[in-house]
Amino acid sequence: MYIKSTILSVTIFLILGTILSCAKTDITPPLQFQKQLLAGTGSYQNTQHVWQLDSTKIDGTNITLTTSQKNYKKTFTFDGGYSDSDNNTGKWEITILNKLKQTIIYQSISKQDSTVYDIISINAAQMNLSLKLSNGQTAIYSFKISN
Amino acid sequence: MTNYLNRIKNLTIILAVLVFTNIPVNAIGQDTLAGDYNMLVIKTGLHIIKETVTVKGKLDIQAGAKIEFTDPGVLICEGEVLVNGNASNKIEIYGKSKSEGIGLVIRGLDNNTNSKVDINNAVFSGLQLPLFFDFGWKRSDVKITDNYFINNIGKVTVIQVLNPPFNLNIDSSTINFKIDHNLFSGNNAAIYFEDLKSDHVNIKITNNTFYGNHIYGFKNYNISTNILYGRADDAYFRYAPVIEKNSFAYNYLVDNIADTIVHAANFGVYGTGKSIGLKNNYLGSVNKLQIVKGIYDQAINYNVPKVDFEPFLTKPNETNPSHIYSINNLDKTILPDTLNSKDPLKGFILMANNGIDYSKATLKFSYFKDDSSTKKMDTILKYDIQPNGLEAKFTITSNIIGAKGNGLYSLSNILDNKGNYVPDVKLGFIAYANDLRRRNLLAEVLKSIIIADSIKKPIILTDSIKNTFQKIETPFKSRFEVGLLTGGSIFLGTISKKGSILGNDMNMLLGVHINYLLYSNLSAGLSIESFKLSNSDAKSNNNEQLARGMSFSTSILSFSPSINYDFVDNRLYSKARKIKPSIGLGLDIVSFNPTGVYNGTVYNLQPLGTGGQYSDSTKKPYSTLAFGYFLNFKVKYQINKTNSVGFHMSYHVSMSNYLDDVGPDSYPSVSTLLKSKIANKDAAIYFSNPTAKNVVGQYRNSPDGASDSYLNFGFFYSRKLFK
Repeated sequence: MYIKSTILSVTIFLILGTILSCAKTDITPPLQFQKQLLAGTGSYQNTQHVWQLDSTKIDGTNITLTTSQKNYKKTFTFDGGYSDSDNNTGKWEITILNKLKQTIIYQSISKQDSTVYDIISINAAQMNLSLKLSNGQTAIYSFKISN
Repeated sequence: MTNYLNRIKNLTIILAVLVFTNIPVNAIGQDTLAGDYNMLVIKTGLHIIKETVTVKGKLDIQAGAKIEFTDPGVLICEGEVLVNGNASNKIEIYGKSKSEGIGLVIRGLDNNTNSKVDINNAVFSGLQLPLFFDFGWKRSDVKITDNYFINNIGKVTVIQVLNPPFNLNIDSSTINFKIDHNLFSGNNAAIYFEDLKSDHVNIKITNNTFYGNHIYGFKNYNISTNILYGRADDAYFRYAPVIEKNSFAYNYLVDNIADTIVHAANFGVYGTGKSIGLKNNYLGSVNKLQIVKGIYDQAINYNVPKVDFEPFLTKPNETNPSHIYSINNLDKTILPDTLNSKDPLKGFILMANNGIDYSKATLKFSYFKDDSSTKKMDTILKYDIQPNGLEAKFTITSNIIGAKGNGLYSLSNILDNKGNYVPDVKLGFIAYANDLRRRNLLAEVLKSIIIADSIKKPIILTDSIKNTFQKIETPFKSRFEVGLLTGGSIFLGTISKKGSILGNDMNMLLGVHINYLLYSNLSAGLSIESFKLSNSDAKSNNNEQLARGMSFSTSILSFSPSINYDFVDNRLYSKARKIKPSIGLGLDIVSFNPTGVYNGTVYNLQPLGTGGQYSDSTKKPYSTLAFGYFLNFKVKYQINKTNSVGFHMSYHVSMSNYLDDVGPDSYPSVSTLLKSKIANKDAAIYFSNPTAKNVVGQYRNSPDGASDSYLNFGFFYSRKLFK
């Protein structure tokens, strides 16, 4: 009788242990997920994402990009660092979903400025950012991933 | 002239035949005797008789001869019989061990009026019927003297004397039949005379020792279950038998079935005679009441003659063959033959009729090792001996430890002062035999229980495959066992941490199981299991996997038939065999559907064609139904005949590479994905390359060894639904 009750107890204990140790599905919140799309998760070889300018529209009109503009790249690191192919550096942050704030130190003029882009769309390969220009026009910048 | 020559020729032939037929055949050295002999002389050396050997004339067995009888060997003597050994060079006539032959048969009328039977200084042992005087035999004189009839195995008679063919009214000749100074000991049968009283056979039975014979019969004591018995009819009055100066001691009737001592058994008589003399014999006791217990006569059955045994001897004569005739306690009281020697014996006093040499004697104590089984232990006891004339006081100095039940003391290798054989002495034999009988009965009962039990549980013989897989006789429905199982499952395929099982996701498993017993050690099973598999490259310790960054989760419904080898007979239920391991192989039919989470939403990955299945016209989407195979191991603990719990573990290999959605496909380009008809291109792009790493020309998973596998384990409870 003692053996039977011991075996029963051990079995129940192990079953409960198994259940409790089962994997839970973690769902990344949209804000966090957007950050990861933009700059990577921070895991191995996924610490930064490089986005290359693909096209630009001003008030809905495509702007023909020069060669150097087509080679323009923004690099967002997962820890909030920013750099671009014009040697500017700075920081980025998304505190509100679809709002990308960039603080850029312009290398050529040694001036710091910050810009808030609206993220129109972003996925693992493409990103569209919208910016209200000072002249009142709306610019839409399309980037493609270029890691 | 021709007639004259022919006559000479015929006469010569006749003479030659007459001469040759009368030349005795000499058998010297080792020889196998066979067929018929006109005359036979058996000299010193070993001679073997395996069949019927007939000697039509004189049989002469000389001192030093050894004759071995193998069943059905018998020596038939139709003429004179001379078996003449001497005290220092006896003749040995014995049965071959485990194939004992019969013995000597004396039969027929011998034309030679001086023909006699003279048997002396011979040892008859291990035979079925040592001496048989067949009906119609006739010789002028019979002397059976100074012989040893010991340990003969036949249960009919040791010596059987049927009547010779006298014409009762006309023939007045006599046969003197003398049995003198013989030792009869350890035999299983009696000495029988068809007519002890006779007009033609003058029987004298004198100076013999009848010691320690066990006459086999049934439980009822009767005339024939005595060491010496015969008929005494009033119809014959010429010769009454002379039975004097014999010693009868420790002769018993033994039950054929139970093999236990029933009754003292010395002398029995029947017939119309009023009485028969048995005077001046030692009859095993000095107590008349004890003596009458061993005599079957009018006191028991009023239809038979009375045996006049008084006066009787209070001890055997020294002229009898040497033997121990009385066993006393150390205080000189009689040690009863019903001695129950549960308590160790301190010693005993033996009284013999002659001087005895105990110098080579060994005292053995046989006892049972436990309370109920027939396991025996023999031990040689040490003793001190104090001779006092014909008495000898034995004081046992050994300690007997661990004896259970009734023990038996046996004193053997005893000789008399002339170097002659003296029968072994046994103390406590009756109680020992009864205890042995009880134990044998118990063993038989246990055996019958085991046999009855084995109808349900055949005895396992492990020396052949045939025996390993014995057919099961139980009804069809009783072979089924159903169970519930639970536990965990761990994915070990493309997206997993290699080399560390527990470093991967573990998910819960639930299932039902049906088992069907095919053979004693073989069963078929069917499991239906529902579980989840999930994993992430982030758990891996491989850089490429870490950089790949994929993850998945899939629900699995599997349908898994299997065949299992049970290390322990699956019909068996015993306390000693409650733990029953088994190992098996099986097939999986698996339904799966890998999913992933993109931006908070769970997507089915197969419709997204993450491996380019929908964007590359050369590819096809994978099936979400896959086959596989598995290796299974179980350890079951049988709680009782119907319920059991246990541990199960199975390693499954899928024949699909897409349980985790990641097959051996090259990374699809974003542009082709964008051009495809996939409903959610963002998700497709993400899942095809979650870390957006540069994957030009790379595969999502190595085409080599891309198979997915998983490990299921846990606990089960199972139950036989029908008994």
